Amino acid sequence: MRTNSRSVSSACPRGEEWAAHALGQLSPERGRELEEHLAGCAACAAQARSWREVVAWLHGLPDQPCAPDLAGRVMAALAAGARPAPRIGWPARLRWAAIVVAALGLGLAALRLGRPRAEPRSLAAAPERGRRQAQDWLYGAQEADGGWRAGTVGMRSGYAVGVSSLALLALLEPESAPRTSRQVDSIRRGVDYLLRAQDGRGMFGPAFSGTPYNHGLATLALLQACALESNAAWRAAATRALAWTLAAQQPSGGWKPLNAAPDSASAMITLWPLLSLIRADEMGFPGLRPAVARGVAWLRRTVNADGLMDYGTAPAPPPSAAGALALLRATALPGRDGTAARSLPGSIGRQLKTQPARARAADRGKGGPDWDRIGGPVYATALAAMTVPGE
Amino acid sequence: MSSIDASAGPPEPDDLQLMRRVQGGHVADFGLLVQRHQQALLNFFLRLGAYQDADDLVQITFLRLWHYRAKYRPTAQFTTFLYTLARHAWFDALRGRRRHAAAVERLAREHDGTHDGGVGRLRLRLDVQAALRQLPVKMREALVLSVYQGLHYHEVAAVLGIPEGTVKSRVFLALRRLKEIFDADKLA
Repeated sequence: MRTNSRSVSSACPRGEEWAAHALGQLSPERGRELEEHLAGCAACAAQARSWREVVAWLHGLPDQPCAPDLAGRVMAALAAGARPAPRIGWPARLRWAAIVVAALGLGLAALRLGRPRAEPRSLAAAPERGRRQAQDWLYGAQEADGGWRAGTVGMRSGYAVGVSSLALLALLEPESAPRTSRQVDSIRRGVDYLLRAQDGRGMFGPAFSGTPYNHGLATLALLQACALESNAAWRAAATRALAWTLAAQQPSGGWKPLNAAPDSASAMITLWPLLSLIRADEMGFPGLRPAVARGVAWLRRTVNADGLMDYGTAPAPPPSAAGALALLRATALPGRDGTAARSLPGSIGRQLKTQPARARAADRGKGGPDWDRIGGPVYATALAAMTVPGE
Repeated sequence: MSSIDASAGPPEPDDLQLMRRVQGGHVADFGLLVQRHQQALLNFFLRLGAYQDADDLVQITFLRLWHYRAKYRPTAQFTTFLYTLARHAWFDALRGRRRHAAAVERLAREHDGTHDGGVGRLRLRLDVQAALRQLPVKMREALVLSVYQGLHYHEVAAVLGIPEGTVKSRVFLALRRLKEIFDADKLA
């Protein structure tokens, strides 16, 4: 440790003692000794001040308040008999969502581009029968309020809107599928559930860190529903939702968790609101292209030197396929990033290889509890249904 | 007419007393512990960098506290026990995303913010949270526990499962790096 003192005596603090002193971690005896020393050593006194300044600067970081219902959710989960050992967090599941959805989108985009389909074999081989079974299971799993449960453990109930939206998206695939009146009614009840979760500003779901997931997924599901059925109330709700999405976009062009630092946008989060904007633009909602362009530009900055998608704009191995679908579906935009698109089959394939259970689940082609490996049967079944290539 | 001083109630039970009751299965006392520590725990996770999971990790930690309540020994500080559970919850969440080592590596790098042409570097110097993100995970957790959670070095050592001397070293190195950032900001 270099000090400003020209003659460092044995009483001068050693390196680690500067930190310990500034943090009040010295023993009382050593603390007294050091204070006596500082009284007679101007250089050390200046050093001590500079270390204390840093600690004061750190303490200037304000505490974030808890969500008002946080304690209530803990107690509710306890009352529901929740087991405290989820092994995979929601962001991980969302990353997988991005991967499998990107795999589906990849197939569609590859057709548009006139290139050979390049999705992993396990996904390409997943049977249409599997999707129908998964959808049947989802119809059966719908709650009386029109939504779907956010998982079996209860502690992720804040994501019920997002999971319900994902279930709806799975039921809305493909648009041209024949549906019974009961199934159409189920979809309508699902949309009504989402509308009840929308506040006056257009935001879906409870206000917490995961809101952008919920909101992006809900907006996308609502738009897909609007594409299936002309409904003025749904379209008005979608318009409000898009307004909130635009307001939540960061100056960088990406989206971030609610209440997080302004520079904490990530591809994983940005995917959903951006997809909803792209879908809305396709459907004729006006004035969205600048935001889409900024979002896509932000995603392009996540492409690393190998042409693979990263988690954010800073390097972060391994590359994630999050955002891939947004890029690939941005066909209306000029100058789409071909390098990134070409890299995706390899990226997705590599990630699937690391999680063979995921691919096996898609191969099995059946819904229900067997597909709950990544955090809840509704979530997993909806994703699995969406991995099946369109007819 | 006499007045009643609302603040003159019985003294609040301390964490140890509450944990003893919780060990006896008293859910209401568990609720008091949740209320008392939820904000500190939330900010612990936020300062570690778990921005997207912080709410969920708080819930997971408290559920583990209930589940493992019998394992708590009154000889240890309650906060040591709580933050040990919290740290395990955080690492478990990371393991779900990838292998532990890769996750730690990514956390250390994903928020680096030094690859955006200099604008980000300027901003980072002004932002404590961003400066914390620049620390390697091992340094960050030692610093957060001692600076923000108010744990003594020996308690940090117990939470992290490392010698106290290593805690001193990590906290010093972390604080020195933050001091460099802070000093550079003052000169800018």
